Amino acid sequence: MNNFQTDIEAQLRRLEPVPPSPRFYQMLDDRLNEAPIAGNRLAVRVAEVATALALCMVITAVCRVPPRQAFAPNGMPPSGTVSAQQLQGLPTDLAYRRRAATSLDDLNGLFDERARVSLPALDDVAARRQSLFDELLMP
Amino acid sequence: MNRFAFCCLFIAALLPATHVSAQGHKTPAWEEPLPTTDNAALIYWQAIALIPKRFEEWQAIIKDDRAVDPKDPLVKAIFAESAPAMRLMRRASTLNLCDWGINRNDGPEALLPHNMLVRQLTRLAMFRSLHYARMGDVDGAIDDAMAILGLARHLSRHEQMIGTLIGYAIEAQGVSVLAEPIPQLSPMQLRRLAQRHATLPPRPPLAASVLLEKRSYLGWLARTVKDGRTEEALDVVAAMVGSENEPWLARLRAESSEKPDALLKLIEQTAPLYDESAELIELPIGTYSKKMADWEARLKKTAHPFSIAVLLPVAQYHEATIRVRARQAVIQAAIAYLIEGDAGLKKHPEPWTGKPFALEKTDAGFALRGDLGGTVNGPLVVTFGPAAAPR
Repeated sequence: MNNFQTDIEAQLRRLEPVPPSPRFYQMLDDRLNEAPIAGNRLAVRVAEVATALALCMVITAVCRVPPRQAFAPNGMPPSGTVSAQQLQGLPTDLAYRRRAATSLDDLNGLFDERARVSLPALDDVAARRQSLFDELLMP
Repeated sequence: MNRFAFCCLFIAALLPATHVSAQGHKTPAWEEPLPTTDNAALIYWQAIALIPKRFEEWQAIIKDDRAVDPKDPLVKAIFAESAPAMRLMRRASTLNLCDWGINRNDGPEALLPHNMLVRQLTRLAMFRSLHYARMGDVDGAIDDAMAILGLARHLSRHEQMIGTLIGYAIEAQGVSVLAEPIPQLSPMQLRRLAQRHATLPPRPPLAASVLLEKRSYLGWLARTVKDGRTEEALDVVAAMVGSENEPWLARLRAESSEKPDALLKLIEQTAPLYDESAELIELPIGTYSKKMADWEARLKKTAHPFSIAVLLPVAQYHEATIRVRARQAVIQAAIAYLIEGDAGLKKHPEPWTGKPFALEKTDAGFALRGDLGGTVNGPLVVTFGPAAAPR
């Protein structure tokens, strides 16, 4: 605790508030009349709210995980030179649908044919080597 | 004061966003599992890549269930070599999502390379399930058979008709191998299997595939014609018919060369017929047969041959749905029979007719027969026990 008092402190303690003069009130009134009108204040407030909303949207956009786009709106480019005949020789929906319309057994036969073509032939040396690796991969 | 309130509101609005952001960047503890894909198709492709290269050489054994003798050295080798592919298949079959990435907007041009290869994977899983069952490892046999059923359901979901049909075929194979170990199970194992089987991903109604086919096939035809590629569209229609020599097709080609919108009009006329066929195949047994016959007769009389050519043979596919639903029910019926006896059979009737499956005793187990209301391909018979053979 400090009990030290100076003259200045004693003078300050004696100070009392002086009532404001009429001139002061006049000056305050003039200042208030010069301030922005109500409409302008509203515009400022609207601008503030809009800025806040925009900020919220930006933050939401940054945090949000983009939705899963399962399928592109456009498919493959037009087949052009790939004829309907050729489409039937590929694993296409057209080829399968055609066989399924005959019978489901026919469709199964087509799958077997295609699968045989897609797996490497036994006389393929690389495939033979790979099969050894398959054995090494056993857990 | 107002400004202070505004600042408070602004900060309050930001709080949820900052919370989400903080969660997103939270560093997990090192021992927590790492995230993995939730798309089963990606894992199925890995399994397909690991199908042993000697698969074709083994066809004689893999395709014949009687050849699966665990004492045979070649059978042992196939079993060992197929383990990595099966491990992946089992995992994939437990996931919910399965997106093969097929662009259905390609319509008839859509490439479906996975369809033929998942069948090879299924054959391998069938072989392994039987091998496990014959070694006395019923848990292994059931896990592999359930992996087949999981794959089947994945293929039948959100798919065009071909995928749906392949899913049905794979479900039939899965049921045939699952039937072998079922009589060997204890009551507790049976209850667990019943619950596991009941929670397989549901199979959507066939109508959904028909409506998807409408958007995919008919949509492709409409877009192709609008792009000015009418000849290309007509070539595809000819391929669907299987003949270029149909008189109506020749007339349509001639007409389309003069009036480009002639084919477009036919396509638009066909669209509501797809909707009608989708409604028909969901009808109950009491009304289905008559209404389907009436509709087919009306189609023959009034529809343009183009519409008949591009519509699906829904009556044929409807029968496939009846059979696959019966196969689903027969597993539950067999389990209920083993737990509760004849009363169990009444709890799980054949879904199409509502009649209980008929029980037939066999030397090594039993068989359940569903007459399916006299469908074209005859009754469904599933044999449970060691003598079960794929049907």
